[in-house]
Amino acid sequence: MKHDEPNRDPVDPTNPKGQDDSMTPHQALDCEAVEELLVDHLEGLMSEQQHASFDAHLATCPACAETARAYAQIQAAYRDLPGKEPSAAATAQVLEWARIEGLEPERFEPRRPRSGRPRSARSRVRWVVNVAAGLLVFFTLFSLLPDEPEPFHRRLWRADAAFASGDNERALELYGGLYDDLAKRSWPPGDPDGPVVLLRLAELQRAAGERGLALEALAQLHERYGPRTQGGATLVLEARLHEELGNLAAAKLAYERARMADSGLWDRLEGDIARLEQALEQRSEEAARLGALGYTEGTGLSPEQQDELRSLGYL
Amino acid sequence: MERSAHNPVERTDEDLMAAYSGGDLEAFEVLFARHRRALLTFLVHRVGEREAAEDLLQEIFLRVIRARGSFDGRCAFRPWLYAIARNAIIDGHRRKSVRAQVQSESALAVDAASSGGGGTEGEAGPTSLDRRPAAAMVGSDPIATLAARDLRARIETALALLPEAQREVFLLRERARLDYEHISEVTGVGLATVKSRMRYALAALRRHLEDLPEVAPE
Repeated sequence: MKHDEPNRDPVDPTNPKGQDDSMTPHQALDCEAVEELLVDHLEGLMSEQQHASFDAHLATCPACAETARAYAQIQAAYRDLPGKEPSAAATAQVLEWARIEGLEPERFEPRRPRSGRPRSARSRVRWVVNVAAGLLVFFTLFSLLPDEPEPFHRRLWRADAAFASGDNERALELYGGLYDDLAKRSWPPGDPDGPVVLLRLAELQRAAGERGLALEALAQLHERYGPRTQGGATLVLEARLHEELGNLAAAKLAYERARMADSGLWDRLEGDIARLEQALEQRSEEAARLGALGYTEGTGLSPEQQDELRSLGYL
Repeated sequence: MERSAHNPVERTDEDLMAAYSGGDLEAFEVLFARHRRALLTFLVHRVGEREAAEDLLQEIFLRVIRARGSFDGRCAFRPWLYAIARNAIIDGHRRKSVRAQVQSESALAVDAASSGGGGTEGEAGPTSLDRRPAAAMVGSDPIATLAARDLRARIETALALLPEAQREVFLLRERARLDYEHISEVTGVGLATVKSRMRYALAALRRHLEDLPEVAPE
């Protein structure tokens, strides 16, 4: 791979001599020309003719096809990474500046020079009475107004801040409110905050010991926001939840899907999968042993025997 | 200017900026909410340290706030925001290099004073200047748990290894989501150069990701 950066005018690699398109349909491309087109290919910026020539080359050149696939994977992997959340302090500082600076034109507006004579004592009393009456009317009307709900993004900041500071109880309450809000708005598609709310609810429910609810939040995440949410992180979280609930087969399946979703996890999850395989095998051996002793599910077992079978996941 | 939708969440960036210029604070809050994550991530990947990136984020939005009167609603907000970000990063580099020079000089003075001028231990270690490894730029994000942390760390480490100009173009495209024409305007280089930098960035990322541990492309 070259490392210098040629700074030259763009040249259409499919038509380097600038010939009329109609004269050179599906002109064959070499690897260098294809490499130059890779960025346009990723962004969907190629013309139809370029597309045809590009695809024709990829069909016969495994190396270029592999490069195109690798670039697309890198691009997709980076785009899927969640954004970093500014700290609550930084957010508060920016908003405070926005508020203060927003006031400035009024604050520094030059005062109008007073004109006319100074007010008499009588007119001053009348002025005070008028102002008091105005304030009374204003506050009466203000108190009659319905309470304005706090905007969604402000509540999200407070939830994020509670989550970041480890105040799980408060975070759960706030994310729960955001969940209700999103549900009322029928989960707007493409909303970047929806997946964050669901994933954090899953993590918080797990921390609170509510694993069933955590799994439900993950199921909603996948259902509402599609396959892009089925990345390694959420699948591993799902696997851990299943494992903690004793659903060993479901946990093993989720670990295997996580490995498929993120090849970087392949070796890392090997131990987890082996452990679950061993536990599943042990469970089946226990069931066989009990079966050989004449136990069958729900047929005249003592409470102790039922407990034993239940602990093995057979009741 | 045409009247925008009543709901601030549905308004365009340009409309929100115009509304804030007219004193609508909520418009700014929506604008900040919309861009805060992408911009902070862009900054962390550009400057390599979470704390410095947060400082820059605040500085950039302060510049946006103060320049609200000069924002021309006919041009796009996002390229304008990232042009401000780029200038703030360059200013930050300048300040840092001056500070580093001062620190370097004072560190040398302290070293000389503590060794009594003799340097008897013969330690040829680095000065007290910050020499963080590339991997140390991975920020702390509570949501980046479990496996995502691994993938994220690998990509962020690979990004940190890119030359500055290539990393800038990659981040402007993939994080700021600017199109290539806008990237060309923001960086002040030609369109062909922007695209070639992107291509070199992708090639280098691919190479770095293959070299890093725990990556097993299928």
